[in-house]
Amino acid sequence: MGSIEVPVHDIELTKPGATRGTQFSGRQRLTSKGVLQLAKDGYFLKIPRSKIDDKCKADVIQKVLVLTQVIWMAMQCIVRKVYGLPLTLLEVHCMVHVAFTVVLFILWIDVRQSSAGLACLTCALQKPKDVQDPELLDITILTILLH
Amino acid sequence: MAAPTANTSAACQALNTLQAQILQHRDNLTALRTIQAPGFVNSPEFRGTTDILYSCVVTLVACIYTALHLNVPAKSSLGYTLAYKGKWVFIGLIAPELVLYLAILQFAEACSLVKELNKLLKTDASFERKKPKPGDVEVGIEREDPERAQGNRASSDGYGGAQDSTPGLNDSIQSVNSDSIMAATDGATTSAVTRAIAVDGSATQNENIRKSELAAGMDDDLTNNGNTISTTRFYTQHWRAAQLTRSGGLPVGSQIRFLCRYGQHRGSSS
Repeated sequence: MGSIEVPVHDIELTKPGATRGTQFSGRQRLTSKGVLQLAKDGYFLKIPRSKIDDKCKADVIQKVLVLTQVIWMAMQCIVRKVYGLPLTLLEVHCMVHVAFTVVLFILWIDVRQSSAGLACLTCALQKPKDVQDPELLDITILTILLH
Repeated sequence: MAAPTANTSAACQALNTLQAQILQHRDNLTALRTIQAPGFVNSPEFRGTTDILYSCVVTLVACIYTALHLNVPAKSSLGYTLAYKGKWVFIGLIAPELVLYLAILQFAEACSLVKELNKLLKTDASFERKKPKPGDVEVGIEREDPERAQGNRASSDGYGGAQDSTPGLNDSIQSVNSDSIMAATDGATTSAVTRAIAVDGSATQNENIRKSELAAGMDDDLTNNGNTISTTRFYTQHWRAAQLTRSGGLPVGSQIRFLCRYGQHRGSSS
């Protein structure tokens, strides 16, 4: 969410000190409704999956490492419980977080995390077939920010 | 301490003697250097407080810090990014269900978007642009004078405030109108402003994005319907988009801006 930015500096008032993505920054972020509306208007955003994957290669390794640690901890606690050994309160608290994290990982499995600042790529908008007007080409370049 | 347990396996025995040796020469460094250990030594059978703390803290960090997939932060400076993430780590520590709720919201949103986009692709509706029929949309153009533009700006600012506090689909129509007025006034300060009158009689104002066209003196031609093929098509296209969404005829830029702003009401935090 919030990963697609559109330059609007030519139609919107800009202020120099505005934070990115806010009203006066000259760049605004598309919501899913925005992407859908653009698609309905004929501007279908085509972002190849390979381009996104290029930006964050270490993502999968990181997720696997984290999940290993988390599941190892959970396994230890479960085994302790099964054998009737006592569990500390902190461990019980950890288990709650582990349960949440596993669900979070499943939900956010396709969301990329940018490790080294913001990764940008530009992509051209697909133009509607019968529109040849040059004034419609003003926003053909989008900056797409990846998670 | 380290009393021998009931476990009598050979490895355990060796370990116990080793432990006893080490404990015996606890303060004797030269003796400690000469003690030979077997190739593989098991971890102690019991764990200390630090072990529990260590494993728990590592797991918590892994759970909260790395599992968070935040939006791209507004500023790219390291301090801001860390503070932004720290805030969400704190929230995740105190109320993990809140983060989970946001994740579910985003997942549902993404799923519905993918579904809708696939539906669009299947029907190929996005590329079925018919040429505008004459009389589909009447385009009347007039020039906006700066004084009126200023007045409009004041009123539209009022609209903007109201829209920010009340999200919702009904309000979206209001906000679109105010947006278009804002777009028009913005344009008036820089260059010319065009106004389109849509079929339903409600006046929507549009800023012509391409300034070079205006510089070339084409805005005089815009008043003539015979010479406004491209402009008519422009409006017709957006009129059609407006029919799809019931959001009013707007140039693409204003629609983008509206949609950006509409989305800021929710889900912008994570």
